[in-house]
Formats: sequence, C-alpha cells, structure tokens
Amino acid sequence: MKWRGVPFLLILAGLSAAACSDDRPLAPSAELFALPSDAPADAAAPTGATRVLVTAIQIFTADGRLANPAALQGNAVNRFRAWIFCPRGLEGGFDYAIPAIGLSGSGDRLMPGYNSVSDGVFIPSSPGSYPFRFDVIREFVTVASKEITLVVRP
Amino acid sequence: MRTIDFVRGALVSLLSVVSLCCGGPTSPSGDASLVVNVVDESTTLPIVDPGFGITVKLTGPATYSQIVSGGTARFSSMVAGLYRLTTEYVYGYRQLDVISVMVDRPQTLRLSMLRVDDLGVTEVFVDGQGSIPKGGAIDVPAGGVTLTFRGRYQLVNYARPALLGFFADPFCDPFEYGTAGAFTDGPPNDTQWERSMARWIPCIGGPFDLRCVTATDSILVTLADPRARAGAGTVIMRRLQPWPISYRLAPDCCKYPL
Repeated sequence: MKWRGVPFLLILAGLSAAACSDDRPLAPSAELFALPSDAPADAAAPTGATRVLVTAIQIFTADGRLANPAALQGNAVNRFRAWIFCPRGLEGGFDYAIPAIGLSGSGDRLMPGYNSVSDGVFIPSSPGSYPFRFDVIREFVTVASKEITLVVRP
Repeated sequence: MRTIDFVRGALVSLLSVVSLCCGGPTSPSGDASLVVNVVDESTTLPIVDPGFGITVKLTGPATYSQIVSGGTARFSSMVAGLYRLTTEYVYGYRQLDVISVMVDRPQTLRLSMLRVDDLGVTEVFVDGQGSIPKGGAIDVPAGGVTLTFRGRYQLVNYARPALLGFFADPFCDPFEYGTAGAFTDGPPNDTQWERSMARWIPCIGGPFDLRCVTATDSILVTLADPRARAGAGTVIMRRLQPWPISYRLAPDCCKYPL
C-alpha cells in the first residue's frame, strides 16, 4: 500500500532520463518570411527550414499564362520560374543549372527569404514525359535541387 | 516505513536532478555542454574517417573548436548561450544548414553533411625544407623552390574519367609567374594525388610588373577532367583551402626570368 507511488516515480524518472539523452531539436535562426504575392502556395518553405531549398517550379506559356506542366503544348518556347528559399545566414552568390536542357547561368545573389529565377525553356514537339530539374550550385556543389516532370500532350 | 520514505524521497530527488539537467528556461547554465554527432546525409552513418579532417566550430558567447573524432565532436564546460555552428574540413563534405543552437544544459545534436566530389591538400612539401605546416614559412632562394602538394580526393557524383587533373597553388591570381615553371603530377590513385612545381617563386604578374609576396592565406585547389567536352576540359571542383604560409625571400630572389 505504502509502495503504491514508487513504480510510477521509477517510470517517470526513467522516461525523464531517457529524454535527456535524445537528440534535441536545433534552434535555427528561424525567421518568418512572407511568401511573395506572385508565388504559388507550394513555394512556401517548411517551418524551420535551415538550408537553401528549391521550393517550386512554375511553367508559363509564351504569352505569360500559367501552364500545367502535366499537359503542355509541344514545340513551344515557354518560360520557367524556379522559387528558391534562402534562410538568413546563407545569402550570397549562386549558379544554377538545368541539366535536361543544358542551361546554366549565374544568379545575382540569394537574399534571405524567397528568390526566383526565370528563363526560357523549349518544349519538345514529341509527346512524352521530360524530367526538368533545377539545381542551385555553390562552389561546384549542388546545394538544392527540385525536379518536376513536363508532359507534352499528343 | 522509513525505507519506503527514503526510496520515495530519493526518486523525487532524482527527478528533480534529471529535470534540472534537461533544463527549462530557468535552468542553471553551469553544466552547458554539447555533443555533435556528424553523419553522412545520404547514409546517416557517422563520418569516422579522420582523413576528411572535419572540425566543428561554435561561435557565440565564447568560441570553441573540436576535431571530429569517431564521428563525434564534444564540447564541455561551455559558457551558456546561443551559438552558431559551422564546420571546416580538409575535403569531402559540406555543411548545408545554417545552424544556431541554444546551449544551456547537456545536449546532443546530429549534424548531417553532404558528401561531395572534392579534393584537399594534406601536405605542403619543399625539397630541402620538408613539410610546411599551416602557418609555416618557406625560404625562397634565387632559383625558386620545388614545391609539392599532396592530398586526398574523392569522386562520388562525377563519373570517374580516364584522366584527372590536379592543380594546387597558394595564389588565386591568374597572371602569376610562380606556376609557369615545369610541373609534374603524381599518378593519382583512388584517394590520393600529388603535384610538384619546379623553380617556383611566390610572385604574380609578368616580366614588367613582377610582384612578389611574403605571405599567402590559402591554397587554390582544382580537380579537373581535362578531356571532357571534346578536350576543352571541365572543372569538377575548385576552392580555396585555408593554409597560411609566409615566404622569406632571398635578396636576389624573384627576378624575371628565373
């Protein structure tokens, strides 16, 4: 009867001690950055993001309308826009590459928060699926990447 | 009865101690310490090869630095506070995350690092003078020195070509004279490389504006695939590796041409 509370305390002490040895979550220099008004909702970086991320890729038709990457008209020159999140502390110059179309270039500078890169992309005439990967490169290292599939409809 | 009270009291005390260790906003900071487990991002395995030379640095209310040993860097008796965690390395891995961590109690965190195509210098050697450590000095006679760089490299993404090019140079100025002399490359094996430059002098510029320096901070290392792009070549990795060196120039040293 008098020992009734002891097992509970033993379990509680054990759990507390175990909690001490676990990996603790990092405390990133998290800041809330407003998603630009022209960015899609899925361009938002996850809460607590601590690295550069390519969060979304949009495809636009030649006349500036948002296109569905899964149903593109072939033999057209469209534009892409890649959204890049950069946490404070990682700002600076960068290069980018889109291996599938052999495109590469240098971006101005990643600023803390949301950045975007836009350029032309030729949509092949043959119906099918085409990978479209956007890489952010710093000092020869790909630090962020995102791939979508472009589908050219028959 | 007394025994029960003693056990109960001991457990309550233990809970209190454990709670203090785990800490809350009001925890004392006298036991602030941090263990950083460094792992490969793709395999999640600890990075235990000391050849990568990974060092974890903490910058905040105080500054700490520990070489990763057995995949772990341990910091004890720290001044409590918010620290920025950064890494240095000889080659092979990169830290992608910007990390701030509040250290006010004993705690552990896992640092994932990305394995990359890379090379790094592990030894600077001068004929007749031996190994030149970081912060060391090179005596430069009139005829220059035979300067050798030895290091390690790895290819994890780039398909290994038949021929690899290794370049190392204490400068980053493209018009330097010092590297214009003859050089030899050691035959690279799977992990090591070597490059020697004969009659090397720490000078930049040309015949009419030769400028010699008495100190450099870093070594510019380059790993290249010289036959890529139909022989035009491509750079796989190029970066500055911190390695301060000072130069004691002989009075008649560094005249053009050697």
